[in-house]
Amino acid sequence: MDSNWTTRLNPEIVRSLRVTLPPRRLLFITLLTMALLLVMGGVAWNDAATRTYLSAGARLAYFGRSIYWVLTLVLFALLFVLVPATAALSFIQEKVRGTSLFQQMVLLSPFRLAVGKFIGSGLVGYFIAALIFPLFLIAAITGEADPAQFVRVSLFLLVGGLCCQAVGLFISAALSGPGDRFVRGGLLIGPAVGGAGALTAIALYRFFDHQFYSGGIFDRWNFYGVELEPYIVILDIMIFIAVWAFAGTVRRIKVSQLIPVRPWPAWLFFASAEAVVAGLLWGGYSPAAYRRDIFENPPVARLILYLVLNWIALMILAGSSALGRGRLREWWSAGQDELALFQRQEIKNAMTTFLVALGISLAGLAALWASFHTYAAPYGQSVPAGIQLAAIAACFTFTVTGMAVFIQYCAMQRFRIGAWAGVALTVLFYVIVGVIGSSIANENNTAALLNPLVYTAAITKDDPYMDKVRCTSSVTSVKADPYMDKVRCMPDMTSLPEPGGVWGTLIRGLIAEGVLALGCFGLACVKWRKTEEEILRERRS
Amino acid sequence: MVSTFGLSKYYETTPAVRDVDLYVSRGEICGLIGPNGAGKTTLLKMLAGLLRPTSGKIEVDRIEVGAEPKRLHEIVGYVPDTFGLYDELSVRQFLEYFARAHNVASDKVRKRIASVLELTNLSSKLEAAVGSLSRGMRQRLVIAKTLLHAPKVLLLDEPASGLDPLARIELRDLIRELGRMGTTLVVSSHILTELADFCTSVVIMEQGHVIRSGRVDELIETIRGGTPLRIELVDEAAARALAATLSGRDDLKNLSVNRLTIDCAFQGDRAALAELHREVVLANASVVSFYERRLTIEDVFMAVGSHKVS
Repeated sequence: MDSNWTTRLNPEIVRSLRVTLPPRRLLFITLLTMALLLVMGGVAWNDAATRTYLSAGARLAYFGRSIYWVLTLVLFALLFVLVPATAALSFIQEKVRGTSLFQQMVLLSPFRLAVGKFIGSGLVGYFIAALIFPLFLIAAITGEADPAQFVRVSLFLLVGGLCCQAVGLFISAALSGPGDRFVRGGLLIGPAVGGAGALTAIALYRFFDHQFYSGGIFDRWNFYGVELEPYIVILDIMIFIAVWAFAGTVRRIKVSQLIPVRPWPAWLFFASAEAVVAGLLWGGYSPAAYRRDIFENPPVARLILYLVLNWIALMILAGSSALGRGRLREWWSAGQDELALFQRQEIKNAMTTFLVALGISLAGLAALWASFHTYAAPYGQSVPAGIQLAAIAACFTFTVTGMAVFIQYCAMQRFRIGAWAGVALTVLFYVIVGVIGSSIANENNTAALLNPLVYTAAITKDDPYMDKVRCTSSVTSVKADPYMDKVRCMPDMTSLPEPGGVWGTLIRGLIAEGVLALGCFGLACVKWRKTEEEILRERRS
Repeated sequence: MVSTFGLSKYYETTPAVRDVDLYVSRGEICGLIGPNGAGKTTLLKMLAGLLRPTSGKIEVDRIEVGAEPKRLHEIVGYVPDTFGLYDELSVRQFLEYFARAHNVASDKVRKRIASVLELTNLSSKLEAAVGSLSRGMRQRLVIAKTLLHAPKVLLLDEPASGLDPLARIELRDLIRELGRMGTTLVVSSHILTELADFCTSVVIMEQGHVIRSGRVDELIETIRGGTPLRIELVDEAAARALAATLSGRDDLKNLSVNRLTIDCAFQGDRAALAELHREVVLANASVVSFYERRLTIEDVFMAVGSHKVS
C-alpha cells in the first residue's frame, strides 16, 4: 500500500485497513462475496424459472424480488450484526492483545482516535456492503420494489447500522478502561452486541416495511404533539443515540488517557435525553384536538413510564459515580497535595452531575405533567393540581436521593462489585416491598407506597386529567383526513375520587418515603465517618 | 528532570506505592530495583501518566502529571514489561503508525524510522512482519517505536526479562547509547547485575516504599563499613576454622562464611591490610585467594532491604 496517500489519513484508519484488509484478504473477500452472490443468484433464478405459469417479465420480477429480500437480509446481517460486533471488540481487542497501553500514550486526539476506531472497525462490513449495494439497487428495480420502502429500508440500514456500531464502540470503550476487570470475558461482548443489533433490526423492521404503511391507515407517533410517521421518529432517535454513543466513546478515551473531563457534556446528555423522552410521552390535548392514539393508556401511565426510565438512569449514574474506598482515599488525601485536590474536583463533578441530572429529571416531570393539563376547563380535582405535582416530585426526589446514598453506603463496604451491590440491593428491596404491598388487602398500604410509581398511581387515581381521560366521544370522521377516523379525548368527570382518601394516601406516602430516605442518609453518614477514620488511621500507620 | 513528592497509589485497600519522594536528574540512567511486588511497575506507570496516583505529585520536565497528560506523553516514552504488537503489520507499517500517531511530521517519518531502526539495530528488518520477529527484536522494536517522537525521558519496565544473553548485551549497549545521547532513563529490574553495568543511580524499593536512593558509588559508600574482603579456601572445614580464628579480631566486621568463601569488612589502613594478608596466608595453607572485593548494587540491596514483597 502506498504510504504517500496513507500519511494524509487518520493513522488509526490506516492501521485498521492494513490489519483487517491487506490486499490478499481484500481479493479473497471480493471473490468469496462474488461466488456466494452467483450461487444465490443461480438458486433464485432456478426457482423463478420453474414458475412456468408466469410470463417472462413476471419471472424476472419474481427473481428480482427474491434477490432483493435475500440481499436485504445480508445487508442487515452485515450492518446490524457484523459491524457492531467488530466495533464492540475494537478497544477490548487492544486490551487482550496487549497494545492498549501504547494507544493510551498516543498523541492522537481522543476524537481522532474514536473516529479511527469507528471507521476501522467497520471496514470489512462496509467493503462487503459496498460490493453488494449496487446489486441490491438493481434487484429492487427488477423486483419492482416500492421506491418509498426502498428508501426507508436503505435509511434504516444506514442510520440503524451506524447507531448499533456507535453503541458497540461505546460499550467497548466503557469496558476496557485502565482496570483489567472485564478483559477475560470481554470477547463475548462482540457477539452480545451483534445479537442485540439483530434483535433491534427484527423489532423495528416492521416500521420500515411497506405493509405497515400500505393503505394509508397506520399508527402515527407523536413528538411534542406533532404527528410523525414512526420510521422518522425511530431514525431520529437512532441518530440521537449514535451521536451520544460516539460522544461517550470520546469521553471514555479521555478518561482512559487520564485527561480531565468536564461535567457539562454529561449534563447536556441528560437534558437532551429528557427532552426526547418527554417529547415522546407528551400529552397536550384539548377538546378541539382530535387524536387517535395518544390516550390509549391514561396519561399517568406515561408519567409512570417517564419515572421508570429516569429512576433507572439515575440508579446507573449513582452506581457509576459512587465513591468506593479507593476514591475516598483520594478525597481524604486532598489536604496534602495539589494533585489530590484536582481529583477532588473530579469527584465533586461526579456528585454535581447526579444532582443536575435529578434536577433535569424533575424539570422534565413537571413539563410532562403540565402537558396533560393543557385543557383549561375548571374541572374539579380531589387534590389541587400543583400539590399533586409537588407530591410526585417530592416522593421521586426522596426515593432517588435515598437510593443514591444507599448505593454510596454499599460502595464503602467491601463488596466485590462495589457500588453495583447497592444497585442490586435497591432493586431487591423494591421487589420485596412490591410483593409485601400487593399481598395486603388495602392496595394503598404504606409498604406499597414506598414505591414512587405506586404512589404516583395512587394519588392520581380517578383524577380527571391524569387517570380518567377517556376517549369518550363518538368516533368522528374528519374531512381533512379521509383515511382516519379520529377519536375525541377529554377529561372524564363522571366519577371523582374521594378527596379525603387521596389526601391521606398523599401524606402517608410522603412520610414513608421521607423516613426511608432519612434512614438511608443516617446509615451512609455513620459508615462515611467510620470509613474516614479507618482510612486516616491506615495512612497514619 | 523527574521528581515525585509524597507519591502514593492504593489498589482499593492494598498499598502499591507509599509516600515516594524521588528525583532523577537530566541525562541520568536510574535503576529501579526491588523484589517482585515492590511497586516498581506501578511507579513507572504513574510516571508515564498511565495510572492515576492516589495522592502526591509528579513532575516530569516541569510538567505536572495529571494536569497535562498529552504534554507529558510528548516528552515521555514508556516500554512496558509485557506488551503485544500488531503482528500483521510489517516493521515499517508498525513504525509509520506510531510515528503518525505521535504527530511526527509526514515528511520526517521515513527519516525518523530509519534513525530509530539504526539505533536499535533493526534496519535489516524494515519489511519483515512484526509477527516473525524474535523476542529480543520485538523488545528492540518497542524501544524503537518509543523513540520515534524523541522523548526526553524513557521509562523501561523490566526490559531484559525473557531475553537471551546476546539480546541482553545488545539491550545494555542500547541503553548506554541512549544515556550518552542525553535521554533520561528510568529502568526497572529485579535482575541486579544487569543494572549494575549501566546505571548511574539507583532507587531501591520494597513494599511500596523507597528504602534507599542515590548515586551508585554513594550508596556503596554508605554500606561499606570498611574494606570489603573475600578469602577463598579449598574446603569448607578450613573456611570455618579460619572464620573462627578471624572472628576474634577487632578490625574485621560483618564476617560471614559461605561454603568455601569468607566475606568481611576490614577496618584499617593499607599496611594493616597487607599484614592481615600475610598472617592469613602463613597460618593457613588452604587459602586459594585473598582479595579486596568490589561492592555492587546487589550488595547495597542485600544490605538495606528486608526483601519482603507488598
